Amino acid sequence: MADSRLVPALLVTMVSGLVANAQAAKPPYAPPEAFMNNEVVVVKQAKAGLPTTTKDKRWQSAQLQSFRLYPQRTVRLNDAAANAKLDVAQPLELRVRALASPQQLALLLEWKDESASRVSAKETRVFGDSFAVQFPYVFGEGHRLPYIGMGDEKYPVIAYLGRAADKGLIARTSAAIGFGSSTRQQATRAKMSMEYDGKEKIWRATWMRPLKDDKHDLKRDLVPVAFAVWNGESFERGGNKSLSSWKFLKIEGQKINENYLTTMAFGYGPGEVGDALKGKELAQQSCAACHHFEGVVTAVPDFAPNLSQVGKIATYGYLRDSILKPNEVVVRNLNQNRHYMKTETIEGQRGHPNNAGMMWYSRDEKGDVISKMPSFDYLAPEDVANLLAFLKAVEK
Amino acid sequence: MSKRQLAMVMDLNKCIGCQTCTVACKTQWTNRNGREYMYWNNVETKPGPGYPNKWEDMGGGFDAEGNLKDGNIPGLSGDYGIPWDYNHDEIMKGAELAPRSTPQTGPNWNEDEGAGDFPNSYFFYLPRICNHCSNPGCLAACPREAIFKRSQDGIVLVDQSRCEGLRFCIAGCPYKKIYFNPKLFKSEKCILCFPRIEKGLPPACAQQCVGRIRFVGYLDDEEGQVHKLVHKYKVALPLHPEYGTEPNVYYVPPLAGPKKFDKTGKPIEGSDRIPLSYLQSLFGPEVETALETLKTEMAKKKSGQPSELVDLLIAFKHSEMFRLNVQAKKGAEANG
Repeated sequence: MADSRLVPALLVTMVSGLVANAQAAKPPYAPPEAFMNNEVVVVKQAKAGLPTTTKDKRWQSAQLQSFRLYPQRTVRLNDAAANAKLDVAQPLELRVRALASPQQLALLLEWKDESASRVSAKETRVFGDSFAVQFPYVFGEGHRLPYIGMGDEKYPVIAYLGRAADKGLIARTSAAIGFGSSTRQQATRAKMSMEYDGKEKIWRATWMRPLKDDKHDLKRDLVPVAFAVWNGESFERGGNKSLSSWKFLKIEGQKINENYLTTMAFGYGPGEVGDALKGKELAQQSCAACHHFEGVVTAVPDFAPNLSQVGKIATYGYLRDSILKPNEVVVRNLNQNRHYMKTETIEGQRGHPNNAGMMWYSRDEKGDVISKMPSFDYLAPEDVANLLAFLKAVEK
Repeated sequence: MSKRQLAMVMDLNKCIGCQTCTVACKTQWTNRNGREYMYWNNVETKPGPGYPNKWEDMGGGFDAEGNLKDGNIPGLSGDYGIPWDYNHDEIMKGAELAPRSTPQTGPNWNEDEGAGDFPNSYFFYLPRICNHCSNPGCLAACPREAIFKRSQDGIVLVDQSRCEGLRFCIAGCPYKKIYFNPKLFKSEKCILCFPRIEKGLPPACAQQCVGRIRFVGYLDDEEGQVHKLVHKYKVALPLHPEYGTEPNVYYVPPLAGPKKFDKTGKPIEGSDRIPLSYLQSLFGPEVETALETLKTEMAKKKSGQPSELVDLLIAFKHSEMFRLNVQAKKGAEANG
């Protein structure tokens, strides 16, 4: 069925004839419904002012959106207790409400948690329940999204972290260019709060910051945003966390850039994604030598990013870029000292050199990153489409 | 990897478990500000669970291929033990000395228990500091790369400005010699008293050792005791070499333990109470050769012949146990 928005456009063409033809040839882009439902939070203007607490009635005027957060499985850290929990971790539902005033943006986040865990100055093995909100520093037409796991060298992110502590909330603002790189910033600060509802067993967190300042401008039509939650009881901190894929805040009253919207909605259009079963066959042939995914564990562990549930935290666009342009989207290696060459020694040294084979990328003379993964740009478009379908669906 | 490596040798035959090293370290570094529970230097009884409790079962280190292994993080209440105070104010008014809280566990909880059945029970003391490893597990585990080895001496340090208190380092260290400061939310560890090292002084634990068991020097200093004990005579061995971190604290294994008694209570000539297999489980397969070398050299000395090794181990002058102002040989950036 034709999109209803096409009708006025067609009418205009008919009435004004040839003169208006050029304009009318391109109707306004209507993003597929599934994209809007899965990936977008509509941010309404708060007519009665922004809510100030988690229980503020004004949140009721906001659209309720719900996202699934998945355990981070791309890189595996070394805490045995945390890894045991990770092996049985389930996705988590994060409920998001967002409101804007002309100057401010406010979020209300809610997620289930059986018990509250707060960091304490009295224990060494207690971790605090936490949440984070992440934005790209630079975004909009002509820019790809940063790597979901705390950005990359070309596209850094700004991340706001709130952590429950026995003496209130610990708030951090950081910039990052990938795993392990986050560095505290004096950038635009956010006001955060966290409250545990022991009766409903729900954490509620509020987050608010100016839409725009001289460092970072969120006063735009479509703002990429990602969320993360840490469950302290499961020893989660740092890279042990659950995270969303890139989502979007569609701020009411801002003019939509259709080109950006089209690019970001890649994967939801007709024919962009193929057959997952055919994709699986291809993945078993082409990816399994280096990557682990859904029961396929033939590769050396940690030889390449683990693809388990990768589609749950990666966009279609990212998956396509990693297949076709791997140098553009490398995942930052965790500490390369994690693997060393036991058979090799440097003369006179007691320590062994690192195992360069376990590095995910190298650098050329200019310092640019060269991924260990070759480009698969020779694949037929339908093969790529099939791979995308499989990767989006792949489980652990 | 560092250009030079500072190392320590501890002669376990001379350790009397007096804990003077522990106290020297504690008063210097860990009696305040969230470090109260930490013992950067501790002396534990072996066989025994040690400090933190059963640290040898907590994982970390590297597998046979050189890949970092998963590990666990000790808890303050169950594994390290919460430090307790005594009612010193009240005993002046006639009260009995008593702890203010009920102690649950702590360092030295199993002091002098050891293993074996009477009358053939046995134990020895094992002083432990950070091993300032050549392939440190803590350094490898930190996702933020906040831990580094100093180029000039190989001392392993935590960059406090990069540390975010994630504690993967603690899981990665198989010796559990890096600690979490819950008050400052940072990881902290033995710094080998680097401010003292930089002034040519030995670490506080070595300086204060009444048994003169600790030698400190660079592994590339071929005239130094450390090099001679480790490389020339090969009598000083790393603790748990199978952990794969290439530790730089070495131990002269305990040799002259008491003999076993037979059923009638007579000592059995040539017997050793400490089973060789137990020493091998701590110091690796080379312990047998090391003990043989020690026995041979001691017999030589006893019979009036000179023995450089035994003279070294006697450590006639305390001041000569530390060689900290020796420069690396020109052109040789190796560390021995």
